[in-house]
Amino acid sequence: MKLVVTGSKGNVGRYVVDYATAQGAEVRAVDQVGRGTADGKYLSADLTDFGATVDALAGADAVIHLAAIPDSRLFSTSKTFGSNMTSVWNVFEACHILKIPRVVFASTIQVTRTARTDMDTRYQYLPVDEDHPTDPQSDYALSKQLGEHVAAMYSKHFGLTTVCLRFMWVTLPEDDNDIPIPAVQPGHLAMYAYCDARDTARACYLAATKALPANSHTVAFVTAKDSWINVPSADLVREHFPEAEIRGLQGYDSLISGKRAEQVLGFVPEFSCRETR
Amino acid sequence: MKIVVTGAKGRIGSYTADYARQQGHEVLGVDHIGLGNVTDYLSADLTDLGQVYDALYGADAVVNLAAFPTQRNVPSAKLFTTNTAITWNVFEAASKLGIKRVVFASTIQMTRSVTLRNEITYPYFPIDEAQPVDPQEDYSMSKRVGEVLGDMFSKHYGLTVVSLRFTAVAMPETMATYPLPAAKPPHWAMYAYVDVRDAARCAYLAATAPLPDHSHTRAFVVAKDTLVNTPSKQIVEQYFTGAEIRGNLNGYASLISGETAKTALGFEPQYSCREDSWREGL
Repeated sequence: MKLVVTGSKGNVGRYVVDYATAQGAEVRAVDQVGRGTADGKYLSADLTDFGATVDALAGADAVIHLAAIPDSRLFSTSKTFGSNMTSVWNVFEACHILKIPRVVFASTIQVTRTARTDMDTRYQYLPVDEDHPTDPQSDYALSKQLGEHVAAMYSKHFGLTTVCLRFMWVTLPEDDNDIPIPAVQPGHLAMYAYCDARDTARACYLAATKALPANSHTVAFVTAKDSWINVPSADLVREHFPEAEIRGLQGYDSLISGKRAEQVLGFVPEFSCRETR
Repeated sequence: MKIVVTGAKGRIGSYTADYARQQGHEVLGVDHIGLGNVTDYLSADLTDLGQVYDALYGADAVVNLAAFPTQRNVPSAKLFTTNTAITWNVFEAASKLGIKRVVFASTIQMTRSVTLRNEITYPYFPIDEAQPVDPQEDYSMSKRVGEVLGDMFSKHYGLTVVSLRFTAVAMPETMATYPLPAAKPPHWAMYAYVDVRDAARCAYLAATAPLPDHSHTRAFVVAKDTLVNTPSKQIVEQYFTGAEIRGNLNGYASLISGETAKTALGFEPQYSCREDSWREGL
């Protein structure tokens, strides 16, 4: 299978390229760093340019679209929002006209909880699942939320099968993150959810390759099984989110539900920041 | 079938779009004037590959007429780069989108520029597509590049390409001002012309006629006669001494051969700037 991975030089993209290649996929990596390689394995392209996008995606069986400005405040808000929205549109539209049936889109936990200490979101229930109302509060989070809407339209009306993966904080094996931490932080950063880059990459690959109903649109959190804080999850909710109904939280269970990724994609995370749960 | 006509607001383009619609085809006209109209006209900048993909998507054939139509419309660097960028984009998009047929608007000026810098020696008359071309300015060279792109995209990327070398395209009102009284240097484009209605029909035939896969057909699109009232043999003998006269140059017969368009595309011009009587003997 021919797979195009955009954002291939990013934290998730690097692992997706390696994993998919190891699984036997023919991978074309696309990013805007440096120059492409003549063997076609890496192409440097500006995905805010529709022509370059069609060129980059032509011939693929599936596209894993990870390319984006990966958070707020890295650039001016108009650039973050505009660039992310433009590349999303270009990728879905290009897949439509090139008849590429499967698109995986990198969304974010931040549609559920924007990662800023000055912003809060309340929950009807925890762990949060994909049916819970979202609450994007930044240029970045909104660009991802709207990307999910674009995906839904292309599934419903243009024949694509789309999977929007809402990534957590992606932890890298090479980093020393010093987690889990002992006590809560102001803002409850992204609900203390994370996922190892290797797990995240495997979820992307599954989303691109798993048999799914035609024209289906799936939204799924990609999370480790546990949180990165050493406060039992049910206690944390009772103290800091008292209005939320607790739906089955044991030990340090993630406050974000990974059930849909498991049910729809067969994805079960393998890595944890704890020795044993 | 669905035909995209670029340069749809131009002279040949508007007639081609109308004619193709009359023949029962779905036509999307594309140009960069004004706004699109939701149904059959799209405003697009074809130097932007992305907009070309959008414009061509869903077509069975493309008639690519969009270009600066002659030299000195704009500075030469702009003309050359714009025309060649559009040509590249259209061939590239057609090949990636799986559109098999592309008709490219080329020009008589490759054979004889209207701004000739150096005289050309022609081995024989009437001039056909086998004779060497000799572009001498930005416009002709941009069309030369387009034909070479047609070679590559037909040979290696699965397209069937027709390059139509249009002669001076005469609107019906211009036809009334022809023929001119007498030949004189620099023999402006060899006095070759074609009525816009004929040019449009030829473009349509090039988009729809059965042709071998991966072929690239170059064809002059020309009326049967010249636009000057000097007998054709006399022009050759007086100004192009040494050239062999092949085939029929009786009366005012065109100095440019329309045989390829006739044999490959089934195109025969219907309009002339003269009354029918001159045709006797052709």
